[in-house]
Amino acid sequence: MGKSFRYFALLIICTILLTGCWDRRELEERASVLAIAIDQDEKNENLYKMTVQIPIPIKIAGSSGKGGGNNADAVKIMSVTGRTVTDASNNLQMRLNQRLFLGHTRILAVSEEVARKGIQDIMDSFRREPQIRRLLWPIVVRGKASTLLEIKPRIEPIPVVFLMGLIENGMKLGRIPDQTLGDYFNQTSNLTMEPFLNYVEASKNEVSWKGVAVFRGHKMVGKLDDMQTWILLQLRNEKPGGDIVITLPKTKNGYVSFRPHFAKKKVIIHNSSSATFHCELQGDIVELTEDLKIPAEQFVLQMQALIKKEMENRAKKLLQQVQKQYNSDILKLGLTLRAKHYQDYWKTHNWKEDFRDFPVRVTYTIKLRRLGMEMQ
Amino acid sequence: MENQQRNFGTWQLTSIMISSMIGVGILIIPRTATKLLHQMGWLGPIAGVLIASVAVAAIVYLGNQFPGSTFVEFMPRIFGGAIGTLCVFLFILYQFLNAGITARLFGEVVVTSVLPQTPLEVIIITLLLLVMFLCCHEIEVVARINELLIPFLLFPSLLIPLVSFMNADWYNLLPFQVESWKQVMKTGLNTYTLYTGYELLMVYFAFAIPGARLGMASVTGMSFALVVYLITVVAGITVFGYEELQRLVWPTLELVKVTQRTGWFLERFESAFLAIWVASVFTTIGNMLYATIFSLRRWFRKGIRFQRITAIVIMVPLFFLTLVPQNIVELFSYTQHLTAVGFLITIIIPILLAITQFMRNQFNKGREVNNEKGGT
Repeated sequence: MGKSFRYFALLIICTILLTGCWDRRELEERASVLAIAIDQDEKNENLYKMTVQIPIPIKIAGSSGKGGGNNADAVKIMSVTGRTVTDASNNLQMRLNQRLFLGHTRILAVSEEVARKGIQDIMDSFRREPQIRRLLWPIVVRGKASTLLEIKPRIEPIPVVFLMGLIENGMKLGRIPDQTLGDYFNQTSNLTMEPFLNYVEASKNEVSWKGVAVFRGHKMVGKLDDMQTWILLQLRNEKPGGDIVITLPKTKNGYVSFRPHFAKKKVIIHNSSSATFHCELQGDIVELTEDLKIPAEQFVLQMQALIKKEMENRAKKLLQQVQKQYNSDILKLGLTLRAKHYQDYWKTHNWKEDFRDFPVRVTYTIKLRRLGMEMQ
Repeated sequence: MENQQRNFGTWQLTSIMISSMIGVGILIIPRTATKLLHQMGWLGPIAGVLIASVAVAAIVYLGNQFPGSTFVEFMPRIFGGAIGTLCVFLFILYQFLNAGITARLFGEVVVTSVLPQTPLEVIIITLLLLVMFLCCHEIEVVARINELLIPFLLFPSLLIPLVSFMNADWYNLLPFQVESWKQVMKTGLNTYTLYTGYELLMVYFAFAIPGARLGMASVTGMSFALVVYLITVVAGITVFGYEELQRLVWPTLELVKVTQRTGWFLERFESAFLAIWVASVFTTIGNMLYATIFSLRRWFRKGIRFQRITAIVIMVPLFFLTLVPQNIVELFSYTQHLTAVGFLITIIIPILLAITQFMRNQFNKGREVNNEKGGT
């Protein structure tokens, strides 16, 4: 009697206590924001305009069955204004039937205009919000940030998924830097370096990666185009970057294309007064539009010299821009200096100002390994 | 009271020690260690262990001197009735307060990061109920629970920092130089709290099987905790940089959050981490509070019935104690104060006890020799 009563009591307690979280919300009961875009409001300069992209679960589930008839409606795009980011999302909540959920946000788009004014105030709420993942990608958009969310790529039902694929793929190929929100936070806190973010341009149906936006502090100061960014990737992250197309000298319309596969760099600091980046690229020739009619051994040497010269020129231009124009150390040179020359350089210098005048040289070593499927 | 069964093995003692030490502290250690020492923050846990190990050595000495008796018995025997009783009282009070603060810190983490809608009280009450259930049992249960949970604690607490090394930038650890040793001392005094929990051995050593190697158990426990803390701090510094660490409330949790993209088989690592961490906090608070209640029982020479009633009664003031700090800033300042008080109880008192006992032994020996001389 006593025993069965005890079991019964246990059963009752279990049914009461083990029913799950009291405030749980099912997946379809949340308005999951996939991407946020932040612009300045056109009418009032002091207001931010926040645009969000929310997928419609039923439409996505249905589109696979129907063969993607009306892809464009798989997401809902909403715009609100507010004095701050939180103010705007409050206003947004008032227009939604479900609770906003930021845990799945993958893209944070900021317009160039806002980025140039500084994004410290925007970032604060993203730092505090525990739902926000440090792995989301902040992106600077040319023109209006909201255009990025309004694209209709057609390949994917959800535009943000398309954009994510674009970045992820570029990252794997080593052509697009993997700059997450966490990296941005770390780089703005760190005293030795400056942050940079990916820079894209969106048109009606498409989005295209255009390089990186360079920051100084929390303010965007300029941008680097794709070719310069690849140099940056080689010197900073040891990523190969994209194909290099060079006009052949002494020909009418000849081009040679070099595809780097592996990049290695070494930073050497001489007497804590100048630095040299040694970068070694290994790769193949993937295109040669005009036959040079020279022996293969000579051809390889000639090409290596040609590519080396071109790369060094590009690197020089990059440094010119980053140092003289933007004065923003996105190369992580300051970190190396602080790590290795703390006593004799770092303590006596103010890197934020002195980076501009620090002599930096770049030398390349090109190792041409293969010529594709052709003999020459 | 000497008829208590003594059946704790060496490994059980080790696991009690490890799981009492590793608790809430691991979530904030990267920040507290780097606050003064910057990139040399990893010296913090090492300095802390040096301080703590002196006290541990004293406790092991006392444990060998008084086999089968807890601090409740040997403190008055060494220091005499009045001071000894005062020490016992202080010790019990400290354990009580420490358990309260730990429970509150636990609640804060859960509320800020996982369950923002759940009231803090609910989380603390569920934890305390579980602890209360533990406290209603005999002391072997504590040993068995610790032994059971230790693999769940050992494996992930090493694995997670090691996995996060994949996005580490090792230059963040350089330059290798200490600005002032005073700062190292200060950090050491601050970080030694990570190892508090070892003082509970003054209770649990009493139940060691005759012949169990107390020294071995404590050395293993201390070195394991040191390794865990050390690699956690190093991971924090290399992944975030010390500047960013100062801005994060729960740096280790953030560390876990950014450790997902590594292509590891688990995504959203933090839920797994939190589950494990809940177990480790449970053992910490459980061991603390069990020691408190059990020593009260020993003190008043009562039986298990007294212990059960005390366990239930003591939860009420403990619960209200956890709610005393009004906000997170106040909570951290209380933790600071408790560290200062804890220094007296967990370091100075054990060392004084050991010294007094040692001198008394020497004195007695001398007297015996004298007596023998006198006899002949």
